[in-house]
Amino acid sequence: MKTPHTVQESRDAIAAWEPHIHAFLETFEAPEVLEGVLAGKPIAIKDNIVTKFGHTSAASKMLENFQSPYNAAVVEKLIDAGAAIVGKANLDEFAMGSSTEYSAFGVTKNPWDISRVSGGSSGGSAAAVASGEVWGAIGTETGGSVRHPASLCGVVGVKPTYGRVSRHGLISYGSSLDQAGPMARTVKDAALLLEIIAGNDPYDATSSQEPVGMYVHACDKDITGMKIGVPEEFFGVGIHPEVEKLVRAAVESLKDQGAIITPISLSLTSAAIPVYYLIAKAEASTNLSRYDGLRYGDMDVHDVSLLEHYIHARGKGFGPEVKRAILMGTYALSAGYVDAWYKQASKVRTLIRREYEEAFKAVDVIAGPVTPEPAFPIGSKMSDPLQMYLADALTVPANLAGVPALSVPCGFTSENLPVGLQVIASHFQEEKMFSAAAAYEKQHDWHTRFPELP
Amino acid sequence: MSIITPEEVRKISALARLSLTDDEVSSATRDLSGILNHFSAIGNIDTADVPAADAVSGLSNISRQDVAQPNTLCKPEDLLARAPKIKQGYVQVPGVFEESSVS
Repeated sequence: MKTPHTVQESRDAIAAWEPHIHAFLETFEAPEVLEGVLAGKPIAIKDNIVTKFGHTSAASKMLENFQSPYNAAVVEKLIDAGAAIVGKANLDEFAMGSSTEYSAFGVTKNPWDISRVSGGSSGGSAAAVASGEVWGAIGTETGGSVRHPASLCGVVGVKPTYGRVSRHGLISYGSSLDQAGPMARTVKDAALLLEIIAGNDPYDATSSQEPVGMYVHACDKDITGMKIGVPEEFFGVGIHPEVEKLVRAAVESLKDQGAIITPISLSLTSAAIPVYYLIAKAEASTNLSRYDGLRYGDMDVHDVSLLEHYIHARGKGFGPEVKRAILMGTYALSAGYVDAWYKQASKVRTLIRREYEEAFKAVDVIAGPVTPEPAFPIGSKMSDPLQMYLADALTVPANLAGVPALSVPCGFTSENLPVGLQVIASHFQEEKMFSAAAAYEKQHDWHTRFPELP
Repeated sequence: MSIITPEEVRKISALARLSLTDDEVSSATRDLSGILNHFSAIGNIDTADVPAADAVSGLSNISRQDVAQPNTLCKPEDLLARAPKIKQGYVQVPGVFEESSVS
């Protein structure tokens, strides 16, 4: 197997891999494109990003037949750069989950071991890149949804600074957290994709006017003297011993290239999961109120009052994690509870953000594991939602702080499962993050390994 | 003691306009109690003088000229083609003021 650079190569790989992994909800006969920076490079788009062609379902029955009348800003930018959009990638319903098991249209399996999950929620995007079905993909993060599956599938996944990439055309989950990000086999390819999709957009009032950095150029920068902080809390309770070993070895490798390694403390790490889920679900409960079973699809509810129509259509159209999100979010925002839950979470979020700002006064980037464990068996966390949430323990802090972070492959476990190294930088300091990750990648050959077709 | 009761789950689901089966009420009561029990630890963090994180982008008062932007407008036929039900050039939805209205 190899990375596909043309639509035909992508088509062949999709024909071989799709029956085994189910990375796509829909594929297109994309035309060959010969011009532009990406000139026909086959790209997958997560199906919660709207496209004028095909469907955009967010892996929900609620949007099963929905077709967007416009393209998301990131899709327009990719097409302008010559990308060939070959398909819409699977995800957890409305991007809520860490395994793609919550997709209403079936799980995406991990190309390295099809009995295991691909991670989530951008699991389809990650599996499509890992298997060589596409050259690159766009995922979205609310809390770790690009980095988590990138780590589990052994590809590079980037969560940009909040506001770096336009959210115009992303189906909203948690609006103060949502951000689209690239996935690719190498750090430099991901950097190129971010250069293309980043930038201010008048259709997203939260998109930043900060100039876009030279991310590709940053990948060739020497890291001698770069200060890298390693938070001991990231190796706390629940970390898989092989993940710890591989990540610590990766940090040593950065040290060998001249980086200065400093142990740091991020004492609020364990608060990140409660704070993240309370805020994300509260925002989700309001964002999802627009799905009334009328505007975006027919939920086949008949002969009832309008109010009953809404109630029954939503009960039929939403899956288990989305219902849990709506209930938790509504609870956290309801009278009598809002101060103790939502407002307290929002205040602790401020403290988490301050803790990161303080840390970045002393170090250039922070390095650690992306996930506590490698890809887990399909079905193993479905009966315990809290365990599924804890899979995000080390990714959600960057979302809460609004800072950029990525996952770069740093080896394989004894069961041949990929593990990712996380690199986090300060607001709009993506270049430092790419420099560190690319410097690591140059010393290793993990990115040249491909999974065997089952 | 359970943090959340089945009655509260029913009350929240009504507020959220979300129908739940009896089984879903039981599992939601169990799952949310377990999750919120774990989450309650953040109540011990001192936030007395800490502001809420309401503005995360650092931006404020983003505005634009109050003029139409034709490139963002969709054609009526494109929109109608995407509606679940249409009738005589309009999107068909249940009546708001009728008791039983979806045909």
